[in-house]
Amino acid sequence: MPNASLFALLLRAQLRFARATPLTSLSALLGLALGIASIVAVHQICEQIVRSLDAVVPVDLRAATHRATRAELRADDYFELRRQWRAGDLAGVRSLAPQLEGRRSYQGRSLAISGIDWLAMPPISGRADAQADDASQNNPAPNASATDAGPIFNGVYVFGLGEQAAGARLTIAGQRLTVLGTADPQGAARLIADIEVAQALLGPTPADRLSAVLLQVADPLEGVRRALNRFLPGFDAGLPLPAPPAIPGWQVQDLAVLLPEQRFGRSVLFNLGALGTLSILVAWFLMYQTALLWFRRQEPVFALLRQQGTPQPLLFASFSAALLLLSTLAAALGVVLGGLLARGLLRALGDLEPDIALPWPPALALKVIASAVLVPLLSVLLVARAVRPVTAQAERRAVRVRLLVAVALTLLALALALLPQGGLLGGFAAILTGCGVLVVLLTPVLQVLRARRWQGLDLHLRMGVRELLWHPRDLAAALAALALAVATSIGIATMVQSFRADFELMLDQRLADDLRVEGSVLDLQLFATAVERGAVPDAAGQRRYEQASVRVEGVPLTLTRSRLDARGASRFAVADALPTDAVLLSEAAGRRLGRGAGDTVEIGGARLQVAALYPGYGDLEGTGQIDTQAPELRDTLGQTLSFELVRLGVDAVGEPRDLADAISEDWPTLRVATRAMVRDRAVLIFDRTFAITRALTAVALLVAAVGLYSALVALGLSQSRAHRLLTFMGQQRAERLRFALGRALAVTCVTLLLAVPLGFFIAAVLCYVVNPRGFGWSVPLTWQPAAVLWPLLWAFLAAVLAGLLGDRNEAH
Amino acid sequence: MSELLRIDGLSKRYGDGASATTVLEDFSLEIAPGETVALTGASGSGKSTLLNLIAGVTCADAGTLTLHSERLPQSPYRYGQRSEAETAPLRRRALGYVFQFFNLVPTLTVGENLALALRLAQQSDLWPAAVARLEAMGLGDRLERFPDGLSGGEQQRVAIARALAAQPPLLLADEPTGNLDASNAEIVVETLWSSVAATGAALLIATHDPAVARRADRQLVLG
Repeated sequence: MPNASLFALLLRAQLRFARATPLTSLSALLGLALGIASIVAVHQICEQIVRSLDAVVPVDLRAATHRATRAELRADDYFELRRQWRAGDLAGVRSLAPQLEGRRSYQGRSLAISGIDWLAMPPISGRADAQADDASQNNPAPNASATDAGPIFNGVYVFGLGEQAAGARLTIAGQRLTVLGTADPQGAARLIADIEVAQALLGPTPADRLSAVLLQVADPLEGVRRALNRFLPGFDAGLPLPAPPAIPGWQVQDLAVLLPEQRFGRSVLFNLGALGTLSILVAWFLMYQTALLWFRRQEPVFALLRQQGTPQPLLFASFSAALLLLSTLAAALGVVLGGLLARGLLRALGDLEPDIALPWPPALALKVIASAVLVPLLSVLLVARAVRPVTAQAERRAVRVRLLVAVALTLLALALALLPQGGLLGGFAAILTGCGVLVVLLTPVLQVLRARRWQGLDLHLRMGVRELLWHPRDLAAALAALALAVATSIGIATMVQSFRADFELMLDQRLADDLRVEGSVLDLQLFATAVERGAVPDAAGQRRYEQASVRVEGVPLTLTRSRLDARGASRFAVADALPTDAVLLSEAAGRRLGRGAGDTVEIGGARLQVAALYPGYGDLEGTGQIDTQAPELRDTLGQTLSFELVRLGVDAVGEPRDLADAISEDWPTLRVATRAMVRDRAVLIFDRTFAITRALTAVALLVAAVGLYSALVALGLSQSRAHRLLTFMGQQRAERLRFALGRALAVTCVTLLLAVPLGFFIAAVLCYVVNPRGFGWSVPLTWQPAAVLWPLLWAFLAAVLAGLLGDRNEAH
Repeated sequence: MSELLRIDGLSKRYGDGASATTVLEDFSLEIAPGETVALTGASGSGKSTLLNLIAGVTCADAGTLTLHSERLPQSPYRYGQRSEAETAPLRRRALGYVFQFFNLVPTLTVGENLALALRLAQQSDLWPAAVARLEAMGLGDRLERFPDGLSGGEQQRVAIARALAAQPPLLLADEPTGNLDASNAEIVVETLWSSVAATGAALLIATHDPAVARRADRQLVLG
């Protein structure tokens, strides 16, 4: 086979070339490996966070999708609903089960109890993802095998009751119970049981009273959700929630709305996923740039071989094979690097035990293979197209088409951002479309800049600027990747800084007391009494904070009761003392209840006026504030709502730190923190939350910088004769530096023109579209010069360094 | 006769061991100011290597080159084993170079190409003379054009103007007509000879063309 041997010969030549140009090969290998590492890291981090989030969903709610309520709900209502379901009147509902919620005292604490008919809807203690799979088999009869604990109807799941082994025995209110599972030993006390056990534990309540009916409803987008989740775990959060079934006389809400921690987490995941997708784009651009660099390096040899009669397809086949070998090596290295990156970031977040293996789902393997095989092959095809000669007329026509496409994409991006129906995915699609505008506009921008003569610049700077602007086909991919990475960095940094500024403002308002004291209810009460009696020297006064969980129109709300005089109300940016028949609602609560300042809302049987809405970052469940003199409230079962003392605010006569030390010494069971400590801790947690985002942005910038290096080397190679001439004219290091600075200046100029507007657009979409749609918070955008200048400076320095290294090691 | 360039025992080989190829062996030469010397010889005989050694962009294995010029910080200037970076002042001030192809920086206009040569030689005061030479070549209206807007012959003539802009005492030319048709080649050769005559520069030209070689004061056959 002469062709086969010729192919082998050509491939050998390519590999020898790779060995003979170690720096180019190494940079290409490193760039590709970093690209694949970011793909692996993003996927593994998202997968791990999904696991953590699934653990947050109460086991009793994992099979349910919606919660139906009505006033004075009784067992008869449930049976009537069940009759309708059996008659096929509840379209889309796969199963339903009654739920009973209440509280009772246990070991001096208020224990929240939730009971569901486990025969109708068994608990699932595995991954919540399983619910979709189980659901499809559950119509209409519940699948008993879904509970891995089996139908142990005196079994309970417990939370916040200290360390409890599965199988341990508990006795509460005379009921002997078996622990089926446990979590969060130090958290709020909560117990999940079969409805009969819950009724027995809650004691004498009207026997047929219920809190809600849980529904399992078919999701028409289930397949799409599953496919998106396979592509990137948590990505389904971008899809709009399915509309709740309309049941006359009932109020039906999606559990995703009622489980804000999960929703918040998935929204964070979605943001990460969106960022990860941008990292993938940058990595793929780099692969194309690497292919172009390799091609440019060998172009003279290819021309010679073509002249000698070597078939063009065979040349490209050997070129592809060499590139595939390189990308396969890079993929192996990238997998290792990605795993280390994911592990490091998750450990920094405290979200990973040292010995836990990170997941390696088939979808991730598929992404790595696609990136290592398909993208290089596609890149070779694009390179073959890019190096074809093009007439000036065709180039002008292409620019006109690009401008039209850019206008269309800009309109689409704005529509996606502004239409509320798009949900989170609409926000992300707007960002992605904005990125598309940047890519499409790159060549026209280079054309506009090329038309300028840059006369004001020194000759060497001018040469550098012009050389960069005159060769868009060599540089377009690298410049696009760099501009995308810089835009993402600007967008994310601006959003995070805006968020941080608002968060700090909120902390400054909220942390009114000198000291925050926490502990068990009993210890807090003893301490409060001691302060009242003057037994705690240097304590000027105290403020009690009591909490209760209520449902308002089916929406869960954490209600805090405290003294809301003028000073107390100022913590929520309200000027005057709060009237006793008024309530302050967090922004999230107001949004969920559809209430604003001046509206009235019925809470626990009392009609209260909403005095104001306050920003409540971290108040995931939606919160409300009432004064200590507010009227008595009742729970869903009609009993008096019990508030639990959760903390005390204490003011100091002298230095708060000294008082904190004194209290810690005299009251060792209490946890005491000064305002500064609480503030610092809150800011630290905030910064940690965004550490992954920052790290991924940095990786994207690094990948883009490697891509730029490859591009500048490719440019150096195609311009080597001009550079040789400059050497013969006596160009020295200082002039070469100015030349490199000129190219860097042009890179920065292009980046500035394209990345800064896109960066601001991304920041605006994140603050005004993604945050409200994903988290329920709006963040006023504040422009931070550092958020713009750092990525631009990075682009400039990367361009200078890449230019100098590329010139020194390759072109010359 | 006073000398401009003296080459003593110059040797250059490429590669190592058994695959080593000797291009120049114990080569010596003297060039006087204003003299024109033609280098001829078969391909691979070392013409371009010799020009590169004289320009200081290639290091010799043995031998010395000595250039006498008041333009240089020290005169006589001895080199041969000095690095490319060290010999940059030599190329800026005392040498001009014309290649077969690609003699102009494509991203600079004709005027900027001239200005670059003068800037590197720190001889910006020679700008009027450089422009006058270009006008004498009939290219005065091309100052604002980029090289890709010129014909091949025009580009070579601008290259000569660029190489002589700083009025170096020695002009090196490597097959400057090899890429041109006969009529353009004739114009370029005429320009080359008249220009070096006008500036008083010596010319060392590598060529395959016997007619060009015959115009030189002296012919040297390598290989």
